[in-house]
Amino acid sequence: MNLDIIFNLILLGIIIGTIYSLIAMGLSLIWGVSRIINVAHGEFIVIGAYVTYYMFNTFHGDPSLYLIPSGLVVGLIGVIIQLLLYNRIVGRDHLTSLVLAFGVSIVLSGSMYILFTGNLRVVNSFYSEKSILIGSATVRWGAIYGFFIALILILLVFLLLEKTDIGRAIRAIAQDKDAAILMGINPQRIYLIAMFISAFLAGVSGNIVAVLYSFDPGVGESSYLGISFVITVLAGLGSIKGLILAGIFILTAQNFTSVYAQGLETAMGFLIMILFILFKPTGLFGKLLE
Amino acid sequence: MSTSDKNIPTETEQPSEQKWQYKGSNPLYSFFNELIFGMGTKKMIELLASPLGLIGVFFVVISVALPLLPNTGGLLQTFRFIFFFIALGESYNIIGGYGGEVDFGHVVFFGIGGYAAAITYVNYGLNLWLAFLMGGVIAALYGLIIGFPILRLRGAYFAVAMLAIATITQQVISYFSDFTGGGQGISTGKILSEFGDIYIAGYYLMLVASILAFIITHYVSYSRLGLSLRAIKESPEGASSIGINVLYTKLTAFIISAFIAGIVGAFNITILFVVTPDQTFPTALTVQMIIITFIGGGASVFGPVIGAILLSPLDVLLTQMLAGVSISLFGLKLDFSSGYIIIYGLIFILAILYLPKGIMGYFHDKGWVAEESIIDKDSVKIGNKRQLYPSWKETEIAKSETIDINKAGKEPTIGINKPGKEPPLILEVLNIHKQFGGINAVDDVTLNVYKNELLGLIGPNGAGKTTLFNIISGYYKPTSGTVLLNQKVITGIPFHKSIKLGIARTFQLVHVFPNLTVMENVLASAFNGRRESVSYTDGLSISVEALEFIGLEQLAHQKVSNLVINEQKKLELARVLAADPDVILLDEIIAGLNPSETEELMNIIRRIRNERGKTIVFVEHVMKAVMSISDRIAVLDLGKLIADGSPKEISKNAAVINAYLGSTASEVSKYVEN
Amino acid sequence: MLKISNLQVKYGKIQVIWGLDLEIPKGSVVGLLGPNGAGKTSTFASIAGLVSPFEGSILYNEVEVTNLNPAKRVELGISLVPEGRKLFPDMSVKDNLLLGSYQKRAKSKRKESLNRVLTLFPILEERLNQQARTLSGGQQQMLAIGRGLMSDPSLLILDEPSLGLAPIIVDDIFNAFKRINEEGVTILISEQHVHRVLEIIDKGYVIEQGRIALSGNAKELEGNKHIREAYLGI
Repeated sequence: MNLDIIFNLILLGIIIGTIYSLIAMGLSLIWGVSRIINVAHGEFIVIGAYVTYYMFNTFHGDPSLYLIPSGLVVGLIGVIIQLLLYNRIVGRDHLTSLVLAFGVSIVLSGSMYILFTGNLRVVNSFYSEKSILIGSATVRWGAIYGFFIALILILLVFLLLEKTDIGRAIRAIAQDKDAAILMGINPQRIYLIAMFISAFLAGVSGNIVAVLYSFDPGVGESSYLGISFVITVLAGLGSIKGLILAGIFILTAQNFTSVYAQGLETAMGFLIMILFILFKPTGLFGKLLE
Repeated sequence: MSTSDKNIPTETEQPSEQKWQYKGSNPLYSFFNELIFGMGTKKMIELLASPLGLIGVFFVVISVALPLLPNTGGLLQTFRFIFFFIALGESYNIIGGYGGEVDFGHVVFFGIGGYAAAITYVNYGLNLWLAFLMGGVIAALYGLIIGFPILRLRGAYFAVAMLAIATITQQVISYFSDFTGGGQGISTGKILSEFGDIYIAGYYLMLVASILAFIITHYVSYSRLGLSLRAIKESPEGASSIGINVLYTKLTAFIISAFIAGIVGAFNITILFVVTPDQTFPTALTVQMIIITFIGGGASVFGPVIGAILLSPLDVLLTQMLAGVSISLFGLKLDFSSGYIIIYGLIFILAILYLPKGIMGYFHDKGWVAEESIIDKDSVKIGNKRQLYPSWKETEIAKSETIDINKAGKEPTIGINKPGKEPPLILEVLNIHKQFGGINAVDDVTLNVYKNELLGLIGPNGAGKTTLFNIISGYYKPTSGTVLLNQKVITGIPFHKSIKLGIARTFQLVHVFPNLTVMENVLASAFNGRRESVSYTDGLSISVEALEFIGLEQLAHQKVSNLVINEQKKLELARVLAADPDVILLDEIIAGLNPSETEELMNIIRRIRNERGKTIVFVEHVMKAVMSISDRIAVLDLGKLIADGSPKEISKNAAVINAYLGSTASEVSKYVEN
Repeated sequence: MLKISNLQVKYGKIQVIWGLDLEIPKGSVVGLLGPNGAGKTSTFASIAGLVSPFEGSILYNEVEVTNLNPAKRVELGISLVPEGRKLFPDMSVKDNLLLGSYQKRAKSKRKESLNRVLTLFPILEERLNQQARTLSGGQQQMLAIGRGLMSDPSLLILDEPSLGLAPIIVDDIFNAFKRINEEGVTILISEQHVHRVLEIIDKGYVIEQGRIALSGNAKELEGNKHIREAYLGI
């Protein structure tokens, strides 16, 4: 394998990996803050992709215009699900939240099959059609688009968590709920805010997914949920630095796998995750998941 | 006296009219004896003779006859679906219901079974029936291999890891195409020549699989394995504390569960003409297994049966009803062909919110159907005058004194209070250190515990008392230092083994199993916590005896969740007694009790020491109780042992007063009168 | 300022407080004394609103607060510095302090409060950007007290503030309590180190198995045999 190929694989690993860090971020956030393992996260992403798809086909223009609307629609769905369902099981054991989210995932994907059919969709735009050459690597504009959007959003979330009162309250609830209550923080309110942010990020990720790849209602579970778990576990909860590094690491590892053993990319990601769970459950930086 | 020769009663000591014989020397004998003549068989016979059993038999007969009747094609398919999901549901039930886990990758065993059967049958020309068996065996083996690491994980970790395992397995199978045919799969058309009509053959095979799965699950439920599994589900710490090896118990269940799924997967290849990764590892199947078991009711043999009977026809019906149904709405064309999935999902969500234990769980709670239990209420005799179980005869007091069980709180007859006798050491704690992130929780503690004494361990908050308990019982490993029990090093032994070696402990917050009965709690300890293996009847006798000693026998068949707190604390003592350890560590056992309850419990503790010859070490905050009951008191402060002596000495010890009251020396003098 | 009458608290099936009465005059320092497990922490949790009593009432400045949520009580000026400090270990000292002034009223006074805390505990100023977990035990306790003060409380509740600390540091912290009290904050404190706390309190209550066994001013309590009984059981 020559250096050029290695460079390309790593470059793509960084670009796509950063996008996947954003994809996983919502799952990680809600897991850390509300202790809900939102198995429906993949469907959230796909809903975002459909919002972009339909808005693009109706209004045309640049797909980036539909970034925020995708986030808002999914954010709203997240808030409704939190109020309607997840809030009801606070205090029950965490496996209950796991199966409940699983039920939500089934209903959402089923609804999407009805609403949008099982046909593969693509958003044909400048981003999916044109590429640029970086070194010897051909990179689609969609990837560049996704990379920068992901970087900006990750930075914004970082600033929100680190520099604002709401962000501090979110981190406080994640670290020690009882102490946070003593500060006068209302956990229910924080759960709702965290869910909105999580779902918003999923919706925005969906916009990037729509620009970059083809999709159908099933890809949420098959293509995005698993990898989100892998990145979340690798990063450890509560570490944005961990999320970025984990995203880049996993995608680079998968890129190399695709050269040596095509067809085992997903297996490679999962294998790394299992090894981490068994031998370093705190992930690269964060804390133990519960 | 070493622990091993302590347990073998000599001929002369055995009372002549002993009611039960110790048969546990051969665990294998015990296992098969119980399998054949045990509760599983008894309950199966009872079931077959009950109306429900007769309905079941009736349905089996109809199922057998159905293919012989004309024009039943559609019905056959529906029935086959039901059998299929009963079998898979029972497989999932063992790990997901009885084991209490969520397994997002259970389909992997179904897939492995299918591939194992197809490869051995097609590639190696094995006899079809042997190939089917290979499907089950290899799936079980696979369960063993992945279960060994993965079953250490708890909760969400386990669920996600299993999802990963299923995906990895599927991808690896596609990848090694020379062996597995890759994405093209393995053609199993050869099976056509084995049967006249493969659809009818497939139908009968699934019928067999469902009956087999039902019977296996039934036997698991009414066995010690089932009892241990249910205990682990309620409280893994509690289960370990009474000697249950959590990993091995779960692994056994996992293997059995994998075997069933493997057999179903193997049988299923009959109606597939080609075995491909997509068809053999459908994620949707895991979804259905989970939903069917959850809605029918996990941890009940009938749960998956009800789930499958209700949901499978619904599945078929809805699929037929909704096929091609579509509506146009705001320019969107809604195609309801896959609408059943939503209905499935909605039923599932409603069940989680409103029927969290499933239909069978609801029946159990209402008392309409008895919960499955290894204990047959009718065969438990309470209140009979009975002989002590042999090992209790072994204690010194039993040899020398007559025991009056009904006389509570009498003066100690042996131990350190007996004048002129050097008390033998039983437990030695030598230079124990324990650090947590730089903080010395226990700092060079050396402490001797003498046989048959009541030692109180006190100290201000954060003094390291519970940490020391955790180290002695093997719950933590010390940073350095040694613990000796009967002159044998026991430092760092796995927690679940400590009770078998002779050290039992209770927890500050009770770790009883709330959804098991009182008797089941104690029986689990008798089966798992003792040095010797115990036969079923002996286990029952030991449990009844322990309950009678503590005074809980009237509540034997009550669910523990119905007990008030002091009864739960007494239950922890009964559970410990049933394991017959030498040393009992009690961690704040009277916390949360009112004075009269405290008094009662203190009397029981005294009796355990006096009449059963146990050594008791207890951590306690209520000073009056500590002072009144202890022979000796050891005081910890900031991880160090600062005093050790009789209650009187301790109450006047300046270091102790200082640790508790923060006084200076001159102020201490005010308190040390006389 | 605070009046508790007939307080009864249960955790599940376990009753820990059995009809407790307590009164705290404005501007005073009141001690709640008693051995471990006597119910001090549960009493405090009821005042802060972390648990709801099934019986009894809590009046704060003549206002019934028995069933208010914790956030509203913080807003009213009740601040609890919990046992074991309960800091946010992975956050900076500054973030910990700022979280103390999360409520609206406190947020408007954030700068003043921060100055006040940093004057009281200058060491915290040097470590503002350090993670809380990297502080020593004494500094962590100072941070916990500082965080409690950030909400601009009129009633500061201190649960075992000297737990696990070296005597010299305990001196510093107790001096700080005196100054806080001089600034007009009413203090309710629980301590195992009876003699230290007797030096600063105006009035003390001895709690035993969830009930008040004895009360009186510092002099009356000093050398009282009952205290010794409660703590040492003889």
